[in-house]
Amino acid sequence: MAVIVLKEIFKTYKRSLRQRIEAVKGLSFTVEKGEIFGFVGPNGAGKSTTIKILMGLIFADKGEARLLDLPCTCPKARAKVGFVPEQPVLYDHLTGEEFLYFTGELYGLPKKIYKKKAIELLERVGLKEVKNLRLRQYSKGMQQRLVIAQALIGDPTLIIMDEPLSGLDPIGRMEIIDLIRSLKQQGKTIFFSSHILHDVESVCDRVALMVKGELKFLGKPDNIEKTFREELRQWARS
Amino acid sequence: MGQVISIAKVTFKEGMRERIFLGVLIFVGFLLIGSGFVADLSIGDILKVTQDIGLSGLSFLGLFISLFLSTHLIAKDLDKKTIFLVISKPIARWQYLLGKFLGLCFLTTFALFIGFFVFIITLFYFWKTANLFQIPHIAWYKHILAFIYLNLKMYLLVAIGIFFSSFSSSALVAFFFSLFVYFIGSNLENVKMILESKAGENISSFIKGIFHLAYWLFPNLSLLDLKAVAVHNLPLDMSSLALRLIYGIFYTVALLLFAFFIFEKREFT
Amino acid sequence: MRLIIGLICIFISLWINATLKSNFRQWALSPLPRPEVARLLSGEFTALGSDYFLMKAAIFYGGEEGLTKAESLWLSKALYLTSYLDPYYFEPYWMAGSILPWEGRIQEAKNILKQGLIYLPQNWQIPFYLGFVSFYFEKNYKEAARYFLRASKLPGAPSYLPLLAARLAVKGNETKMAIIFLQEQLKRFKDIKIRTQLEKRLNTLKIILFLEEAVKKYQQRYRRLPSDLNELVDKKIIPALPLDPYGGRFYLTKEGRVWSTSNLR
Repeated sequence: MAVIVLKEIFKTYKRSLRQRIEAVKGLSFTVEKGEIFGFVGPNGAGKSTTIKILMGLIFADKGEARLLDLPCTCPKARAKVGFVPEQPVLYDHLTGEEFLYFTGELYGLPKKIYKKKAIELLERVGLKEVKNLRLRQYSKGMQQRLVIAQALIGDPTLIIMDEPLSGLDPIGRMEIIDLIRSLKQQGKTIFFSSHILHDVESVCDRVALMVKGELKFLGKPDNIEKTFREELRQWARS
Repeated sequence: MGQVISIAKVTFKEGMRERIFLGVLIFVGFLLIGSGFVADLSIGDILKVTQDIGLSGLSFLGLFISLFLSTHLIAKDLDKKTIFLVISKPIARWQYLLGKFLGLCFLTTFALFIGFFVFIITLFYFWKTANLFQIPHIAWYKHILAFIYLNLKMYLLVAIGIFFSSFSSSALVAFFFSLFVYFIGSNLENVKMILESKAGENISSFIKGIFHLAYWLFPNLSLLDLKAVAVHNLPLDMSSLALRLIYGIFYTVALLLFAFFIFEKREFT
Repeated sequence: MRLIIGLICIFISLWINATLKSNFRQWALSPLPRPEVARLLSGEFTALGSDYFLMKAAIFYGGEEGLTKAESLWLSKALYLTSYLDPYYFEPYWMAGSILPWEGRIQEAKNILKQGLIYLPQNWQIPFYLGFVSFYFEKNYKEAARYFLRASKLPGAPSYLPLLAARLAVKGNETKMAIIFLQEQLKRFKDIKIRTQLEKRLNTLKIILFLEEAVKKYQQRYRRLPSDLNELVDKKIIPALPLDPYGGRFYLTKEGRVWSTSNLR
């Protein structure tokens, strides 16, 4: 069963009256249930745009995008989706616990359930001691861990992450990759983007390579760097 | 609906934890308590001046929260991108705005209630200790009515703030537009009175025409202002009160619906 | 925290500013905005604007010297502005009626008071003041009687009002009326400076009344008016000619009334 379906997606940004940036051109692929799917490409390739379209933050000009077999413009499509945005910012006036409760309520979970899950997740990401501290007192790393927790509180079947590995030290990167693997073992589907090819090669079942808004490759990640080295170099020069 | 309440609660907490909110609350507190002493300096009727300062102080507090905080908090959400973690949940866009609206309304009423409480105590104190020829009658229940309508007026202003925030990308722009609408709305009756008086005879019909358009378009905020009724103990007309209430509610709902519509199409890059 | 302290400082400085009445005359005489402009700038806070201008007017008037023509014009404009901004406020009507006519601003006083008739229809004092102005300053007895009658029907009106209306037909009662009127006003003002002004006027009118009664006695005895007030002293009707508290000199008018060169100003 396809958890993500993208069919002929087009998106153009109109910066000013003359300047138009074609961020996504005719993108089509699917992500199957239970796989770890990597979405790679250089910066500016259109990966974030695609993810934002999937999450209902922006709207595609043309084409069809579906999450868990519902149109992505429909809020219900996100009921079982956990999202980790690129460089996430939290409501820093809330405490860690308050934020997770808030997220639980947004997912429509009953109070008993989200309270229990919040404790579990805080423990799991190692933030149990600081749950009553305001988020503005958390370090960057702690905030990142809370964002992961809030993505998981709704017991999602699909987790979408936009550049989860960028800006992390090697230990942080290891932790995220371990998390991704453990989530797959729980039967969840993970879809994440990265501009570092090596990261996706090691953990993903399948990858999609995007350059300048177009899909250049879709399949197993073996030797992706070698295969496309020339193409990527050309892009870097233009 | 629970999700709307959830956002409302978070908005309420956010407003309460804003330091500037506390600052203004304290300032108005001082203003209210000091109003009696200022009134004593003035040679007018001490109780009337106390009531004027008190009610105006409350209006000002409400104005600040409804116009400033509404535009500020939403713009902050969009600017810092904290909104991403909310909009990406299984909620509709309008639920987010409605939650913000309700949270801001709770915040406004909470602050105004504290201010009103201080005001009534102050007024009562000066009423009992006043050294006047005649102790005037104070229409306490009309003050309560004026307070209720003040809250309604503030809800309308919150809706204005939310409306402008729904499409503006800058807090400052949304705030100034809201302030502009407030200023025009407060003066609609004043301008009408001037145009109908002797001073207004020389004004061109073109300007009068523009004014009539504005009169229908902009919210007539003085309809929800019962300060004069409370201070001067003016007679109340039940049907007029009901119509004002309905006007306030309809205008607020209309603004919110427009805001919902605009916000639905907004893109968060 | 800094913000709170800053706000408190602003408040305290405003308070100090208001208590510094030393140069109040200059401060009070600053130019007044046009009423329409003031109203538009106040928006929903017209009541505060009204209080502010009334305070200016009252502080200004509390001075001891008499008002020049320009000053009395300023005062009438200030009172008009106050009543324009808050037409339901009684104080400006009362001040206009009690002070302006004595300073020669009769029409201005009437304009302001007539607005009061519309907005405070149940208040007896407004038609009462109008009546007094018509009677004492304009000598329009018919209009005065109409106003007094109107006042007498309103709640709280003193019971002597219908009598007053009747007395108007009788000439020579102007001074007595003015005394009654001033006594009524003294009950309301609590500010020392304004009370001093009113009491001074009241005493002077009492002196005038005293002199007018003496003139009547002279008339009864000698069947003619005295040529000069000093004759009253010569004929031993009064022991001495009293001094005018305003510094002028009392004299006898052609009609046989007593007035002063100071015009009570």
